[in-house]
Amino acid sequence: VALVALIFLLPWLGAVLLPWLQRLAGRRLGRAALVPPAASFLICLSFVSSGARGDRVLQTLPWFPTLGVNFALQVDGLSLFFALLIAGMGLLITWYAYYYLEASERHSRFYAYLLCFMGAMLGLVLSANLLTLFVFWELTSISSFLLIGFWQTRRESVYGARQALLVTVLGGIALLAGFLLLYQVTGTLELPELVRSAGVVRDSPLYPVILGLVLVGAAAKSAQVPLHFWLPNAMAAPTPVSAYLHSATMVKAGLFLVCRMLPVLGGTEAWACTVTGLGVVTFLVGGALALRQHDLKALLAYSTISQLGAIMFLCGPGTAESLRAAIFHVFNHATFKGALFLLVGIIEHQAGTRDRRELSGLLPRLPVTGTLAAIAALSMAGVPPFNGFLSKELTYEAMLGANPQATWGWLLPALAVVGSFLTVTYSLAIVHGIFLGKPPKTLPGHLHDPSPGMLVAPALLAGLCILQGVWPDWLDHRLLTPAVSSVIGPQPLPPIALWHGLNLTASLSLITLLGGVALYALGGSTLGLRSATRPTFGLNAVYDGALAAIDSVGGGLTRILQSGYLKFSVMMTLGFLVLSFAYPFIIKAGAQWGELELAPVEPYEVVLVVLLVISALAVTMARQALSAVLTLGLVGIIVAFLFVDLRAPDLALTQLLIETSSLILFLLVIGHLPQFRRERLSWWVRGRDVTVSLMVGGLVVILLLIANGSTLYPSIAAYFLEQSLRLGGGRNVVNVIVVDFRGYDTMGEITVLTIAAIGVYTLIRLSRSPRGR
Amino acid sequence: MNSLILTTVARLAFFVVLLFSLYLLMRGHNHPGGGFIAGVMTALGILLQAIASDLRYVRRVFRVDPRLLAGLGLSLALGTGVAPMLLGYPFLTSTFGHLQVPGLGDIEIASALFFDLGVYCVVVGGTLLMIMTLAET
Repeated sequence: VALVALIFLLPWLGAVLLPWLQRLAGRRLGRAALVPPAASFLICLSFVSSGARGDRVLQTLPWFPTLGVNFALQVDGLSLFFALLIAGMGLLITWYAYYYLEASERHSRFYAYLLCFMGAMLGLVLSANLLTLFVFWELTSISSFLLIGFWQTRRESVYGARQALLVTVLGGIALLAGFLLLYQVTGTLELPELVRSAGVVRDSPLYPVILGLVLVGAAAKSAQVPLHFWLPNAMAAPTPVSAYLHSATMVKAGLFLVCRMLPVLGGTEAWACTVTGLGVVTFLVGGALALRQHDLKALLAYSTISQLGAIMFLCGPGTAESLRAAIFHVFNHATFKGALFLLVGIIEHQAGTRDRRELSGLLPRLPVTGTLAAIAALSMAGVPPFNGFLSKELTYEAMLGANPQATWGWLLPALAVVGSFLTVTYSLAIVHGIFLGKPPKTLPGHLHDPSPGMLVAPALLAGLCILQGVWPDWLDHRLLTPAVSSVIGPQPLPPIALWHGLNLTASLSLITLLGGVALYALGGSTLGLRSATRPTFGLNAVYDGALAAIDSVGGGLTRILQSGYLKFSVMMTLGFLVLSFAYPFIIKAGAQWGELELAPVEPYEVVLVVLLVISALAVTMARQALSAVLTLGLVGIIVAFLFVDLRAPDLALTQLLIETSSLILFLLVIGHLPQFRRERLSWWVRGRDVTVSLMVGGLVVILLLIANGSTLYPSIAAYFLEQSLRLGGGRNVVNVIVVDFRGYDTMGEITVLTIAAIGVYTLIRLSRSPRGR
Repeated sequence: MNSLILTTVARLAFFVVLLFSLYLLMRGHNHPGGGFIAGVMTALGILLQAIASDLRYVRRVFRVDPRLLAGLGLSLALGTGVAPMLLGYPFLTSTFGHLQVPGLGDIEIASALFFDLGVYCVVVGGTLLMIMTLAET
């Protein structure tokens, strides 16, 4: 059963190993990168027959069992469908990338990022615990950031990568908040448990908040209006990445989540209205904006937004029919849009442009590319006998059946038809606008189809468009119906067929095609090309404005706090410390301390403390920097002696070593410090300094007294003393706490130490290199 | 600094310091010591060479890249955390056993020692990285 974990671990293993193979394999690295997705795909295939029977494989690994957080994976109909899609598309994309990447590019890095993403995405769909899911969710955002920014030197790549990261991660934070509220309501993060306590969730007063937060997360990831604006900018990525992440898989994560949460949060009026509304608006806005793009890739990006909206739309009613249509369309969209992206990559590769004002009549020059693109685009438009036609039929059927009694029951099918007009129009803009008609004179003369290897992936996808159109039964029985029943329980569903007779659905399909053709003939696809403005509804400007505002506020605060005058910074820090501690601990808690448990004071300790006070006073009177530093070291060493006296050898040792190393650090930088001057300070300044110092000292004393006297919680010291040898196997309790009982804290601390060290290193290195200036 | 006495003594003392820090690391589970203290001590021993001789001498003798050392330590600590998960225990579960070695008697082997070794590597690497970068300026 550890096989389940292998599905996502294999791509990660590949990501780790590939850079080492770079020198060995050279450009053939792309071939080695095929192994992990192929293996994951085969493992997924082995689960198909059990998935079709409706079995669920659940694998739980305790992570933080005391918090109810487990690393839980499951293979059920829905996760299996998505996992097969991710691994299968991954295989084709990796194949294509081998031909797409130039020889000079950093292949190992590209494939490592791609496999990283693949692993994260597979882990996301296999998760059975919301926190596991969230971790993978964020990992897909990060790997998407790395892939969009793959061409680091291009301005638009950097901009697009940062924007995509910020938007999806902000959505991720909303999602995490939603998950935590769900945990608060139900007391579990396990998906199967959550499904069982769905009633509790729906009746909770927090339900609208949870629903909103989860949907914000899903909308940011799946580019739903108004959080869609990052997707067109993400098109700065290499084309295989756009096809894979930003069309076929990652942007479907939000839809996956909506399907997963349907049995938990769905079935209410609020769910139906919000999800359907979100989907419809995105469907229409995305379609309308697609018509205004002259960059072919941007057209595909907006059409992706529109199609994602259509699928979201289908998740709203939550009936078996609509859910099957949604999942079927996820598959179909991956095939036809994936193929189109790859073919646009070929056009750009061969013709050197992807501006559709400069491209037309390509079919005679690129016969194979053109045929494949026509199949994919016609499938997108919903022309029989391709698979897009079937999912559109199912969409209409589901929408007609969703609310037949309601007075507004006609609204959903009508909106679906209007959105599909736009789909047909931009599909025709590709088939007719790019491949038919008269070729412009600007086209390079040597234009021809690429090598057969590059055409394999889009050809397979186009083949699937036909295969699934003519013979959808295997997919339906093995994957779609099991996926639907894994979400809402076993449901009887009619078979998918090309021809149902001339009923309402068939007539709607006919109307859609005629309407779309009419809209295209009227110039619908070229209307926007004449307008000069960039059609983003100003959301990009809002984003830019927000970033600039954060920058300027941050800059202003930094100018105030970091005046370059060290004494001022220290005083601000200490003053803030006093204020922030004084209020909650002293004023609000009433500064109560009960009976103090004080040890008797030995004469030796009195001597040490007197020495400590004298040397501390001496620091303030030092006339040279060096003597001040050395005296400060003396203070530290006396403290270490105090620790020895108090029988804390670990502390004393640490204190001595830290004193020594900070002394060395001081000595290293002392040459760079400005001249140490003793100026005559006014009485006012001296008074202020002494006041701040006394306040900080007083605060520490009071806090110590409160800590000593408080009995808010029983002390856990006794537990550690008792259990140290039995559970940790060590007699040094301090060490057992550090490496065992509180091992997780230590893990965090050493991570911080490493990050701090790298920070110092890069800051100093960068400030010295000419580029850093 | 060009002090012949300091240079000579520091070079000889280095092995004593290193040995003592390793001793602190190994005994940490039962007696005062541990990865953090041992790490700082090793780093200080190396820094003493930098002060007594110069950075170039340190680079020539101590060839491990501090960045690599810190990363290695972090991976080791993380590995000790993940390893029990493969056996079905929660993250960072620790265990220990006793080994009877002829001549040495009872030796305790705790998985936490590997974690502490990771801490040691991170502290040595991190401290050296910071101080050597500062020293170069």
